[in-house]
Amino acid sequence: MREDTLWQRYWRYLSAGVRRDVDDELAFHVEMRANELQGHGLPADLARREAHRRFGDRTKIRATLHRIERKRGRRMTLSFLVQELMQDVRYGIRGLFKRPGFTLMTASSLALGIASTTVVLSLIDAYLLRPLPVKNPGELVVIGATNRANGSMVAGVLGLPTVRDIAARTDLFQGAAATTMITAAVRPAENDPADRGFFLGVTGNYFSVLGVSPSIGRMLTPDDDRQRERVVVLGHRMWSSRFGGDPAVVGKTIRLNTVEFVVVGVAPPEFRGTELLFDAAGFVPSGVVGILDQGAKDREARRDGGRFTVIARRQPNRTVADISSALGVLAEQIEAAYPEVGEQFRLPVFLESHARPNLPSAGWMIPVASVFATLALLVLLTASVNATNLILARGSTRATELAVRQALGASRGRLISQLLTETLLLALLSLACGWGLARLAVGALTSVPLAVDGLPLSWGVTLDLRVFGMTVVVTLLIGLLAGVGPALSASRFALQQRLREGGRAGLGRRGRRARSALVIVQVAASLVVLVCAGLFVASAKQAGKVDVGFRSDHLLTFGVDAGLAHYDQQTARAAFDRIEGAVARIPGTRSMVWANTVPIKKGAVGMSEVQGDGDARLGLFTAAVGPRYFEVLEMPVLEGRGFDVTDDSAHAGVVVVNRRAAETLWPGKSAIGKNVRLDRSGPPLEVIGVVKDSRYLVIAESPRPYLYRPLAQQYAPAVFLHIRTTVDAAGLIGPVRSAVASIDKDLAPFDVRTMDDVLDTSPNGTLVLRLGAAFVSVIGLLAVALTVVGLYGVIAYSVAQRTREIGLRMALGATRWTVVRSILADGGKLALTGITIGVIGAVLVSRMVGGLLVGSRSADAGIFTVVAIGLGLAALLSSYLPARRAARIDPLKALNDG
Amino acid sequence: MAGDSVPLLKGSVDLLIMQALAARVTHGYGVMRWIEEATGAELQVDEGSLYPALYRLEDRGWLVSEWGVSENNRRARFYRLTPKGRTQLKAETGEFLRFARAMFLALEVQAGGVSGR
Repeated sequence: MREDTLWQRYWRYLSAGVRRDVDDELAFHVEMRANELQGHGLPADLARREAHRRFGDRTKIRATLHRIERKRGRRMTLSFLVQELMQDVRYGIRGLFKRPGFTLMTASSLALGIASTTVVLSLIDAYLLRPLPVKNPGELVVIGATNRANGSMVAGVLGLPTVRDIAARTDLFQGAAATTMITAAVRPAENDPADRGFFLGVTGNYFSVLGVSPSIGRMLTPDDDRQRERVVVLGHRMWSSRFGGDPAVVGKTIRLNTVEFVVVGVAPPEFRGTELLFDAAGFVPSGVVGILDQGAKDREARRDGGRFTVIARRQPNRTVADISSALGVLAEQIEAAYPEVGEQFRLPVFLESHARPNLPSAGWMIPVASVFATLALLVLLTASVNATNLILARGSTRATELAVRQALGASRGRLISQLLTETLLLALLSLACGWGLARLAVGALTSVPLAVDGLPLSWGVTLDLRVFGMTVVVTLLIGLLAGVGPALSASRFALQQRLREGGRAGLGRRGRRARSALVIVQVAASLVVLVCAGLFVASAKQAGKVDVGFRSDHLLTFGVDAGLAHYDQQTARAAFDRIEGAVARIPGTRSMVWANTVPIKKGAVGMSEVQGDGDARLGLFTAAVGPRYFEVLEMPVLEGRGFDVTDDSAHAGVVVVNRRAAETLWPGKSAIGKNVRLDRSGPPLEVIGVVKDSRYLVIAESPRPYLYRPLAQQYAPAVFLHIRTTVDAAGLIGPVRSAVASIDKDLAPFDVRTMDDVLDTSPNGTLVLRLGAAFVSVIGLLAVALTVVGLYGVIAYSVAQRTREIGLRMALGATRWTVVRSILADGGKLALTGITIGVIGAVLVSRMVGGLLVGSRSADAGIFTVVAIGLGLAALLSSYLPARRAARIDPLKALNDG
Repeated sequence: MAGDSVPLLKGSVDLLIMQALAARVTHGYGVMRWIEEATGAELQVDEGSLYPALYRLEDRGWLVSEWGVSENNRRARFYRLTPKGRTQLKAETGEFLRFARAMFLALEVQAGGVSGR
């Protein structure tokens, strides 16, 4: 038999009364009939029997009546519930409007909690939860490689032979594809300017393994790969931005790094490749990667020094653990047969969703996400406790109203449902505000330009329906969390205690103590966060003024990469000279120099170990720079000389070191004339100069040893021109771009930026500091807002609780000022305790973050003082409002109302 | 008694019930007795159609019921015609009378002609 639904069971319970009524009614009918028959002279028992007989099938009639009643009952209950709900909603909306202050405070507290949770959810969704837009994304795994030398996880290091070994394991995988990332310059037509973009070189089975179908045209096939076809599938974004979304592009020939490629298809809009942060401009067969990137040419067939990452679809019955152990065996076999892969060769495997945003951060996202989720949860909890306090505070001021309603016949359930409706309305209002805030925050976050090698990355963070759904769930939870307690206590105490005791209803002493403790923690935490924010802001300000060791104003840089076009060393150097000549003709340029680095943006290209006097060995970063580099950048040469045009391949090898390197390698002696070797077999190089330390890799770094070589003695295909200008450097961006473009279309200048811009926006420049400052400031403001609301809630609640007591004290002669003072003292005590604890915490934390900061910490004391006083004032203000209300209490009324 | 009565036409039970309650508030038994008396015992409603009809009419909002005490001091369910029911009664009565008149015209004239009664 079918189980009754809950509703049916509920109805059966309700309908017991209905059944009795039906039976009574029918029994009455029979009795009346019997009476009548008796009146006609029949004996009583006969009359009864006759009456029953005439009635007919009583069971059947009863069943019919029950059925009709049941239907009616259901309909009535439903419409009754709807009516009640509508009434609650109307009542709730009216209530919220009647107390705008309360509504504003509570909604803003909840909105902050909801917004911060939403932002964290959107990040977690993007980097952990959201499946790739492919077939059965849960089956995808990614495989990288490690060995003893490189230790930690590296992506993009597998050679194609190893990829083939992995793909051959059809017992483990339904299919295994491999990808590598390359930068290429795209030119839609012969005379168009080139645009650099990220391309994925993929094995021919890539799209079939993923199950991605083209938007138009076709995807790549294993045949393309085998026959090294020069074909490309364009990314949707690239197609719509550079090709105008023209479907006729399929079959057209375009140029990638000057090589002609035929467009065979366009990827669907949602598929942006399998590298989360990189919006793939296009996909080319792995077989032609060597044509696009000279450096990869001879590496393809090698086991070591490969450049691929495997993305595979596992067999449904194989777990990641199975695959991991099977690949362990495979890796050992490979290592035995091909020792060049290095000792302890391993093939680590991860679920695709656990290896985001890229393989090296595999398994790293979950702990980070947990930390963020915990933080968001704490904010959310604080916000909801604040809301609870406010609702409680309001609940006790309106307890009399509730008591009256209860006395007039509203059931407890009815009151609870009405209070809950109010809270949920409040939650909905907060949801709207919170969602708006979250949109602003995510918008601000994703507008921060992230770039690698001058190419923008995509954040991949969006606020879509998925996130909205999660936010709605969170909101309902927080609404219930904040509303149930007050609703229960308000309704429970409403009648019994409120009418009897008057004004003392509410949670007990323990609840009050817990709330006070929470506020103290809030004050302390906001102080810590605010001090951090202050330190970051001060540091970001200082970073703008930090001495980077060279003159950053009136300096323009751009890069060209001869490796992308078909240049050899000789033709490339000639092209660089032509470019320099063209730039020199632009009015407003004074001097210029090539280098293979740009301070802070690309601070070093190599690291070498150098032998000093005795045992002193030093690992230092190196750069190759052109003649008069130090003069152009205005880096003071402390000893000896800088490079000159004569320091070329025809002359002896020379180097310049910075002061830090000189002092570490040859303490107490002059470095000039010393010889260094950059690798064991290399020729000795003579130190000809020592320059002042400057900032190289990160703007906040402490002085590190550094070594310069002449560019003429070390060829670099990718180089940057540093131009000292006599006019505002930003004004020369356009002229420089067009001057360089006129030299050679294949040598498009990239990342034409002023040095000040580089310092401001590079991830290693002040960007991180400014981002950090902005982030911490936002958190700080959030914390303060929550604290102020929290303190207000607690004080307002206690004032509401003590209305009668305050009335009594005023009746006994206390002045308004005494009352205000005592309430302010309550708030002040909480705030002071919090501030004291917070100062201790802030001292500890500021020591911990000290390493991230630029400049002296002389401002610390000032920041501590400002924050502590500011927080104290905010605390006083938030207790003043309830205090003023307390002072307005009419003693007579307070005592009578009780 | 039951054997002598004319079978009821479909739909006429509702009309009779409402008419019964048009001028009085009474219980199911009272409605039944009124119908017997008003039709000179020509029409009889059995309990199997009376009560379901009462319940349905109440469901439609044409009647309301409440529990009260009967003339012999028993707990009984009393029915009352609602204003909505009264409007309905008026409409249906008019309609039924037009129908009955038409039927009468057709049948009586014909039957009279054939039987010569």
